[in-house]
Amino acid sequence: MLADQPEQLGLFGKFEGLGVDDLALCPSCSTSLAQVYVDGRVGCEQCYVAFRDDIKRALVMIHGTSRHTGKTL
Amino acid sequence: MRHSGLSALSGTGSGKHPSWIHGSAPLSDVVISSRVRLARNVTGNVFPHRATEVESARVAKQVLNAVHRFNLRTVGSLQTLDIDALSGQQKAALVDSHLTSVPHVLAGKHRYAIVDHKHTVSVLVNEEDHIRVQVILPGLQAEAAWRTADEIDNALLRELPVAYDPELGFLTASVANCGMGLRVSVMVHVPALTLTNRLDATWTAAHSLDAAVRGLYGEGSQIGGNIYQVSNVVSMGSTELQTVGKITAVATYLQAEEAGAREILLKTQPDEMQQIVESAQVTLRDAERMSLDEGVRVLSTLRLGHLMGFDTCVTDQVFAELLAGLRGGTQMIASPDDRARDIFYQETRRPALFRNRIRAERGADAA
Repeated sequence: MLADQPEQLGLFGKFEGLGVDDLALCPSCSTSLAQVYVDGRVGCEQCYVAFRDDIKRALVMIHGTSRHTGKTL
Repeated sequence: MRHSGLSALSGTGSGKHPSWIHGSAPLSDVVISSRVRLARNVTGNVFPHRATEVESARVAKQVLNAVHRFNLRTVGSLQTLDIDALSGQQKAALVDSHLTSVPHVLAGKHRYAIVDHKHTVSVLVNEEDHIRVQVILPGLQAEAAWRTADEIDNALLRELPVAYDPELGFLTASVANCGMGLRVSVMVHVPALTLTNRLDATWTAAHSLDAAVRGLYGEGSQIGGNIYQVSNVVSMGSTELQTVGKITAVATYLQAEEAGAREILLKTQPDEMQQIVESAQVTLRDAERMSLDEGVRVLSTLRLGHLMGFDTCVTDQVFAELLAGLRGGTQMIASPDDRARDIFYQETRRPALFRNRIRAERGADAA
């Protein structure tokens, strides 16, 4: 159903469709990758580990890079 | 010290105002205010939109304890507001003063705003992220706002373990904010660019510098009045100071364009301008009721008139005060049951509020 409404997928803009991988869940907070696609938000910091490759791809689309160059800890 | 109320902001427009509203400031003929916001999360906790009440309470306690441990010379004493314990009017006042957001005041329990006595600093607890540090100053002062936000952030980072990844930066609930977690925004008033049909070209130039444009009350806001928020889109791949510099450059460009457009209007269409301003004065004089949108439009025209030398008395101070006194927040946070009543109340008090404030300014001028 999500794939029928590509314009509503928030994170990656126009999205071709969801595959099996998109049903993956974050082991810490149970947020699915599909949910991240839909509203652009993750559930916890572990989502950044679980969905790292997809999130990095999204960051490149949004910011042109996935490498932080600002303030460090 | 924790308070459930916010006396300074609970009045009806005649009380104390946040200090970002006071006095003249750099480029304040166009730039109403500058705001810097940093998003941080406490490591080991789910983010607010996924958290249970127990989890939200635990994070809130951690953050409140941390904030009350640090003592910042430049910030001074801080007051903690339990959002859930505030009245609807107090919540609206917080939104109108841009000390917090509509989603934050609607989110339920364990939401807090920690504000300084000047109401230029607010640390929001359990907004979209666990912590949002926000500093708002009058006019174009994005760099000064950043320095204060950075100082508060450094104090927080000393007290709390935050979610951070060496490659991705600060980890935020919204993937788009990940990296610096920084939003720098300026609120600008550009009526002459609208009147000269140059607004679209100006926004195109702003977009080319990676700046986004939103309405007066943020994302999705439809309220007009030629007031816009311009902010950075990119939160990764540059430094905080570079981002501040970019938005400052956009604001400086907008100010120059708007000032140029005002000059052109005055030179080429002085009679039309006089007519537009007088028409707004008549509308205000005769109004018994005024919608939020009409209120912003009238205010915008009277402000433009003042800057062009017409006798409207809508100075920097009056403009900023009445913008906060519009109580647009009321409209956005009222429950469906209360909305019609609250909107009616605000619409009927608005024209008198405007007239009284302008009259007071005129009296002060004459004295």
